[in-house]
Amino acid sequence: MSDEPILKVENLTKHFVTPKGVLHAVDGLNFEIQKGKTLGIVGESGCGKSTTGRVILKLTKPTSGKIIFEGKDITNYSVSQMRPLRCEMQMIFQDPFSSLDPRQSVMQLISEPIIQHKLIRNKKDIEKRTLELMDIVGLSSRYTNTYPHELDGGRRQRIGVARALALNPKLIVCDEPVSALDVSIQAQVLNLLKQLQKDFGLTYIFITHNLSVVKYFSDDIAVMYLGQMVEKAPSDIIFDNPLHPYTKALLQAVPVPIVGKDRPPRQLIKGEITSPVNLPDECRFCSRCDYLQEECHKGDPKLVEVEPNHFVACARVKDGSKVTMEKTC
Amino acid sequence: MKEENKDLLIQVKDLKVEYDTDAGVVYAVNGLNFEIEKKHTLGLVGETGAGKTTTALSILNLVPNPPGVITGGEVLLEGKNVFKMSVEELEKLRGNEVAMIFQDPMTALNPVMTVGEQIAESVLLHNSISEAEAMERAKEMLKMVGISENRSSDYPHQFSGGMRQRVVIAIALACKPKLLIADEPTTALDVTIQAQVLALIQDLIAKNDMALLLITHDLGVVAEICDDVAVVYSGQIVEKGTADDVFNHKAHPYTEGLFNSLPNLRKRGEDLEPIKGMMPNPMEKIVGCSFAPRCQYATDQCFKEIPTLQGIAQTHSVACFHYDAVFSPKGSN
Repeated sequence: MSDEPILKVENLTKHFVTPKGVLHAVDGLNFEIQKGKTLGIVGESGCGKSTTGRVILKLTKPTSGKIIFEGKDITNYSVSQMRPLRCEMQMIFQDPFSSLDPRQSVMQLISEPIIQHKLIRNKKDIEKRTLELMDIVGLSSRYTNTYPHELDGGRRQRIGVARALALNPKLIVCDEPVSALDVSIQAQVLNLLKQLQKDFGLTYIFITHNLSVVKYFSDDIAVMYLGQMVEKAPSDIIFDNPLHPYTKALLQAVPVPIVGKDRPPRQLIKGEITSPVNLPDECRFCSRCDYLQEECHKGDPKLVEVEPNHFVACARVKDGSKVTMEKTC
Repeated sequence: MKEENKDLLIQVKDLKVEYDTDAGVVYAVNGLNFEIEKKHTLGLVGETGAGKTTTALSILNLVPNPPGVITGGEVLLEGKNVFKMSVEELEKLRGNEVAMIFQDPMTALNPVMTVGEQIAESVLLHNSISEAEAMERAKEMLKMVGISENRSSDYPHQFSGGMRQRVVIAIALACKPKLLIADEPTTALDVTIQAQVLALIQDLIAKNDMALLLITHDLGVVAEICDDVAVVYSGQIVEKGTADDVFNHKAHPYTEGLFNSLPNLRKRGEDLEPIKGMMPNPMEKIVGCSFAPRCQYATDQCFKEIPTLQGIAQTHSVACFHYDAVFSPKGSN
């Protein structure tokens, strides 16, 4: 494995202009991913996690910042320049019901990207490759001529995975790939994604609101709040030693299926996510934070590396200093 | 538990519901039994298509007909059969004695009425009081669910998802029902908001001496607020007991499978153990145990006979011939 990251994002920003003002969907993101690894991006609705995924794939244009894929700055690539790159960067969508064309059969759906990108021209070979892909994602060949509405959510999501895999991508952005599925089916799809990563050396950006899923899946986890990354660290560290008050709150809010004496205590976080339009110049978590200090109202806190690979953006957390976690209100 | 038990609020006995569709008959609920005591909370857990919501609608006699037909069984609310009630009696029951909260707060509210009016509406319907009094009550309810009373003249679109679900809860509780049915009340909400809403429901249930039937697919949510748990699989209860029974001494292979599928109990990198196969087709009548085709312990007997719920501990019962393979009684290990 080389040290060169497969994807690097510098100061990535996406603002939308709305009648009410500027909406800060993504605000100054910095991160990189090594080949074959998984970065989990976690946050609640409206934190900008899906926009991040879409901007990385250039499905919408970033307002500013750089996207560097395999050493090439692709930020200003035109549509035609992006086209060959589409084979290397793919996406799996959340809803397997609305992301598939209801009038195409499974065979048509999976072969579509192969035909579009002219990877294989011979009809027989296309069919062979499609069947191979179906086998890889665990779809029985008897489904070749069925339509999405005849299949359950788990199988539909397998079609989505096969479509993404059809182009032999290096990077796949998975946007909530299992949140529409039942737990038992969710586990099947997660196992499949994990196996594919091993087999094909895939790199994943795993976008989800479900912390237990990212813990299972990711090497690194980035927590987002109102368009900013508030904490980023290797998976185990995020769970064992969360430093940002929001990360802590998020972890404690997950309902755990444990009854009895082993049940962890829980603390509720007050308030709701505020509007991302016309943000004041202070820490964005201020209105919900239990650990407020005066400094919190003086501008955005910067992301600081508190221990190797562990970044936190919180006024209480200073470079190298010990963090006090005493409530101030 | 005896039938005459005075503390029983609701009993569902051998409930069977079918949907008669163009494609054939869908067997949604196939002989379901449970009861809830007063002031108790029962969690009904299962996956999509298990018949959870149909069961809830049956309690209010609200199964849409056509295509839904209740083909057997009865639902007794304090001893009275809901299926034999007249329209007037049902009107009194719905929203007054039994209230329901739905999953999506977006579609449950009327977009052209202020939230205050919507709460007052249900109060007016079931009580003989003036409009002004009803509005006062609506404001009280808003305060109770943590919304400032001066927002009573706002419309649903002016609230966030979590706030809207609070309004729905306020409407449901305005008439002080004896039973609250909550159908996936927090599924559409973010985790931090979900935690707030669950805490609110828990608090209000306790304060108002209500019973709760919570329908969910999320075992974490059940662990949070339920006294008792019933696991549903293809329209039947396969295991029920106290939360401690079901979470710490699980006995049915399906319950075991559900827990094994959950990623949060696992260490990173280990493979999850999903339940193999899919839910059975609800259009086929079940022969034998409905879980048998997916069950690693299944024997010939499972494909021929239907297992019935049998008690294996004081509060714990399971419908499985081979529960021994899964079950670890209290005090063992």
